[in-house]
Amino acid sequence: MKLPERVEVVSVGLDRFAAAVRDQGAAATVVDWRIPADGDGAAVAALARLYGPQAHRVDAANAEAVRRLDQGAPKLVGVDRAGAVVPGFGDRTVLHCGPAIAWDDMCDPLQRSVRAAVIAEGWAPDRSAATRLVEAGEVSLEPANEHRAVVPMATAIGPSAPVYVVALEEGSAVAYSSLNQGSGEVPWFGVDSPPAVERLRFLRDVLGPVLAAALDRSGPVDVCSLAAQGIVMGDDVHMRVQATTNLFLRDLLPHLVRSGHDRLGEAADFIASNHLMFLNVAMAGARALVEWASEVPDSSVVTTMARNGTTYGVRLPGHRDRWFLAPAPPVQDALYYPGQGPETSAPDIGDSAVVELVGLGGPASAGSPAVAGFLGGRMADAMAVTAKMGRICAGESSRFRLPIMDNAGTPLGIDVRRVVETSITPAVNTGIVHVSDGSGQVGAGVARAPIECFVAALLDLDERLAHDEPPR
Amino acid sequence: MTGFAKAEVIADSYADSVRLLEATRAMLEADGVDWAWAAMATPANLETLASEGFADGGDGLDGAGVNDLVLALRAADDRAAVAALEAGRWVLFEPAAQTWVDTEGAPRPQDLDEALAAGPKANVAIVSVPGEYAALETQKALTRGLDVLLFSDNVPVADEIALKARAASMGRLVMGPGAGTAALAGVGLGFSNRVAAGPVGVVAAAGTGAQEAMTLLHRWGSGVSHVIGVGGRDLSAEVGGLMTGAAIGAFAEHDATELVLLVSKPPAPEVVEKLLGAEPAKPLVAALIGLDEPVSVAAGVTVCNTLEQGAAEALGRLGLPRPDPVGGTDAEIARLITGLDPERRRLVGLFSGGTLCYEAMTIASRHIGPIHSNTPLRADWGLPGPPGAHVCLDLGEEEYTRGRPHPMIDPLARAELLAEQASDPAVAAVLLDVVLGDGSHPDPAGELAPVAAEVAASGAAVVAYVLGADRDPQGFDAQRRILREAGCVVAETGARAALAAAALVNRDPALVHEELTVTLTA
Repeated sequence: MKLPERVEVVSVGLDRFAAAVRDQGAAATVVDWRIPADGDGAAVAALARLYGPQAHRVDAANAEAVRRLDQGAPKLVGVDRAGAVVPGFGDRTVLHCGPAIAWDDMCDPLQRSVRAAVIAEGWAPDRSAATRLVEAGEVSLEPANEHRAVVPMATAIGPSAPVYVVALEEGSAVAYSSLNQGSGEVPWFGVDSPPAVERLRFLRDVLGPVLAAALDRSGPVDVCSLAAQGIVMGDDVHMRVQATTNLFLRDLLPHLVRSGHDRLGEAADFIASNHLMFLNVAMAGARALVEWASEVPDSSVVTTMARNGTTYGVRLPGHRDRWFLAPAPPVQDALYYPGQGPETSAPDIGDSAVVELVGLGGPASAGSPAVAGFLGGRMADAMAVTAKMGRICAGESSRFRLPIMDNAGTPLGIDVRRVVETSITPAVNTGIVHVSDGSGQVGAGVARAPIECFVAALLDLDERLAHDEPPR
Repeated sequence: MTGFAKAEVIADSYADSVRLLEATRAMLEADGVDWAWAAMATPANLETLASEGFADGGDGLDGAGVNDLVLALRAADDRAAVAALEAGRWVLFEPAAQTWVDTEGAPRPQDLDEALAAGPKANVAIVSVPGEYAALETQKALTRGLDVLLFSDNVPVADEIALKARAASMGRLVMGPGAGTAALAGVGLGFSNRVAAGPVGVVAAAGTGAQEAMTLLHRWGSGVSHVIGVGGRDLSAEVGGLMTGAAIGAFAEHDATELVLLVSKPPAPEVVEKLLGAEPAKPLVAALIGLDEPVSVAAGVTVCNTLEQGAAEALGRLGLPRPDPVGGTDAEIARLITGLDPERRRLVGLFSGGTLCYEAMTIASRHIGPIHSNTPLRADWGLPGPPGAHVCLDLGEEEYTRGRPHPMIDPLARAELLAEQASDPAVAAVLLDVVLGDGSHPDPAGELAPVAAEVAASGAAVVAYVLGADRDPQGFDAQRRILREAGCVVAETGARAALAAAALVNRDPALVHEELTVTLTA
């Protein structure tokens, strides 16, 4: 052991000890300490191991996980029929948002969305028949996330639905997402009316084939490159995706026009009215990145955050079958349409929080005047959201940069240790759908993830590492 | 419960216990306040507040969490309550409380990593958070390669062993838990004194013991290389001297260190064998305070049982002249004995330093018999003692610091107890320690002197010991002078103060010169 030849102090706790050191002419700083993990003894003990003897192992794994999230280059390579490309997609299967859930436990908007998918698939002629079919166990309900796929809000997809296919050059990870259903009477907002079912058929019969043809002509589209440009133009690429959607369509325009599809005009009408179109592309790209990162064992970087309107689930790398669940919270800090409020709102729902895992959405808030407007109008409020995400992230993006913060990278790689230690759970900007009447969107707000699922994930990681090879 | 109850929740504002106590005191001192408390909104504290009648009332207590701060009080009326809350807030959030921020306006780092990003050369962490969180903060500091002074108490022994085993494997120090004193490379950490650099490496399992050793070495013409605190449990059978062994090993390789002085209560026998059973690389003096049975140690190890002898032996083995620990106190004691009323037979010790209290009891009890204490030497010498019993109190122990700061930080609590002695006609001698240095009160002698003068005027003798160095901010000579002018006898060492008090009780001035046991090797 070598004893120190000079002393510079960090005081964790009492101010007076730093003051005493400074009085002697040596340097000393004081940490603005807070009680960790809300004082939960088991979590504090796990943190002591994961920041202590296991720290180098976890930190090394996190560095690799963050490298993958940061360096992976997901490419949109096509649009195809879900049943044909999504692995393990059975014949009579519907993939839904969030963790696994039984029909009876599904919230009303998700049940409606599943019904719409069943009708659109032609398995049942109407809503009551669809309900009977599902209740009879004739339809297999599975989480999209367990099939390398993600779907926003209350989306549910059958095998005939079109999906974006996103491939990573690195690690051969492929991921999928549904096509955005746009606004109005639509299943992803919990509507199962005939027009809502018709929207699904439109996506299957018109938009999907048109986009597939255009993408065949254009070749692969670099998802993160578009997102990085969109951020500089004011998108957070979750709540606001307009700039990125426009860039995407500009690149695609010549190929759309030349595809010669006979219903191109209808597709164009829809595209022109849907400013969220790129959101689902970004989600598929993010899912591809976290799929790659999830192959890194021992990492504490969160690789799934998804909700089904009843439960909120997170997953960690190296343990992909294990979900850590908590009740889905109501959406806090919400703005409502006239006549709507918390009592008419379904809990937080959807897989779109996958973008928060790769440095988009919440972490990119600082650059988005639209997000600032939502938070009350001041850019400082949006910057505070980014700063708070920085406290729970393991790294910074090298490609998603925020001009307003001197081109700092967006916080990247949510570290479950930091989440539990600080009790800061990721903020996800999201829409709100009606709790029961199938009338669709009722507002929007900021959803805070429940801490319990992160605590459970932390304790599980601690246990796995303890039973593994001894730490050095 | 009477009065006007008022509570205020200040969200997301952690304050350490010292500052909370300061705020509590400020509110209590405000006009018209019956009861006041500043606390973090832990479940236990919220229960206490509920039992005090603060459960309901829309003051935000219901949703408060562990990092929210609560100011609660009962006052004569609303105006008094508002003023008192303001006083509490002022103590907690006054601009002066923030002056240690390094750069003007720069935000305080929110965790260790942020602090290290701002100051990457930091190499020592002082951890003083509540005990249940101390292991986590210490582990983080070790992971970042820092040595740690772990001041926190109430750290489970299993955590202590895990921390020290990891630190030893990494070549790092974990000084503590419960270590209040260290000095590395000339910088005092925690409660420490400003002493000369010198050839003695101090390893101490006793906080004020470390301060006594380093200041005696300094005052007697030597100095220290480093002072490594190891925490009071390090030499227990369970911990097995993990950090003491590592520190002795580090000093063996440390060029500037010529001799190691170990300061501790008597360790577990197997730990003595482990640490002192083999011939040390450098001369080693073990001051095992209160040891009364000789122990078997290797050649090159000197064992004694007082801090005074520990320092003196170190000087002797370094070839430096032996100090005179008595000074002029013998004549003073002889004079005071002649003036003592025959009814005055009791010793009352009021200590701020736990090790000084313990050492005084081991020395004095050999001459005056049982001394009752809140930290008794024997189980049957606890409190309350029989009428007329000798009493020594360690006022730094939890039962005296609940609800008020440590007596080394705030002499007020001790002043109250001291004042009581003026009305006790059975007290022969009151024994006081006054600990100087960084971390301690800026003028402890000045706070105690008026009350000490009252006691001296009442007919009892007051024997004080000032632990300090001439470089300490309070000024060693000035503090001693203040006490002398108040009528106190001021001793040269903690041990001599205890002997002087025993001399007064026994009316035996020769005790001041008592030879302390030097060699305790079997």
